[in-house]
Amino acid sequence: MNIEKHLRQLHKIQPDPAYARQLRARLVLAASQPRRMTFQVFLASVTRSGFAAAAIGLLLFLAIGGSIWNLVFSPITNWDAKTLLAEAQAINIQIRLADLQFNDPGYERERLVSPATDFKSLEIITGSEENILPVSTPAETATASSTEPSIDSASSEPAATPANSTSTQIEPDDGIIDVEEALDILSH
Amino acid sequence: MQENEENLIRRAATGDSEAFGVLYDAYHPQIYRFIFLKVSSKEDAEDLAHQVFMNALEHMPGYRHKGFPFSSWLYRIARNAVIDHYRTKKDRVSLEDADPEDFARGESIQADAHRALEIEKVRRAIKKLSPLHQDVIIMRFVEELAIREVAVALKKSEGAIKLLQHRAITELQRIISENEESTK
Repeated sequence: MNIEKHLRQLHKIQPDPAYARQLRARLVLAASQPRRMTFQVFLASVTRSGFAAAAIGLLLFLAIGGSIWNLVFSPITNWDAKTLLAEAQAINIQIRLADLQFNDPGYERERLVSPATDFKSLEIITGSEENILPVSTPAETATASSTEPSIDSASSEPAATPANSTSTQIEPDDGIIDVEEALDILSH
Repeated sequence: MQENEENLIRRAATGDSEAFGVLYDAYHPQIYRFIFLKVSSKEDAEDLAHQVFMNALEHMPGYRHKGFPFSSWLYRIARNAVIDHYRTKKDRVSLEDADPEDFARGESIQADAHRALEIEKVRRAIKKLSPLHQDVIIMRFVEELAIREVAVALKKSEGAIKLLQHRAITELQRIISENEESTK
């Protein structure tokens, strides 16, 4: 049996002509009527294109959105160097040196009374308890004694002897004092 | 026809009933044949063909011509219609119970009895194939469509269609010879 030949014979199958004419008339009639689906088709196409646009927008946002957000909305973009400088200068920075705390004043006291101390250069600053400083130069002492100096003025002011503090120059008889004598001096 | 077809499709999509009528004239016989060879009766084939063209008319505004033949789109609608038909009407006529007289009327072939018998054997054998093999056999050997057109209609590659048609023909030959041996 030649299958392909018989298959080609099946091509001769035709629909019933009467049925075909009737169906054609129905279809042409249906096609000529105003389309009720126009709005739905329009809506479907709009929805379809809307979804596509939304998907593209989302991808773009994910790709470059973070960078744009930072550029547009970051507070850094509103700053400029002049503003920052003006703000920095407007800050009232005052250091209350009188409030400074020293960790171990006992160490300095011990050092003062050691036999190797050069008493010729030793200055004991008397006054308030806060003003007891370790070995210090007169300039440092002056700075430390002034109350509430501003940072700006501190560097320009000359080092001066503080008014509320007194210095005592110790002149040992033979350059050596004993421990009790040193403690006595410190207690004053 | 290809250029005219594109123009007809565009006109039909905008509601030109006469253009749709021309498309119907061109494609109704082959769609009807495709359906008739896959269902059990002439009445079912007529109903389904009607349904296919009504669906096509309804969806014409959304049809986008992408260079493929219009028939590929119609075949897809027809395939889906046949699948739905078998899904919803399983309890109706089985393939084996179909009246051979229907085929003779459907074919409109007034040939000799022997040839009609041979054709009927082939037709019955086609119905025993899987739906995909049926599609390939009908499109390639009955309608003599190009491989590319069949590939578009069945959403497969051309290579897959070549393989499918080879398997389908082999399977068809096996079924026919089995049927002949059983009748001896």
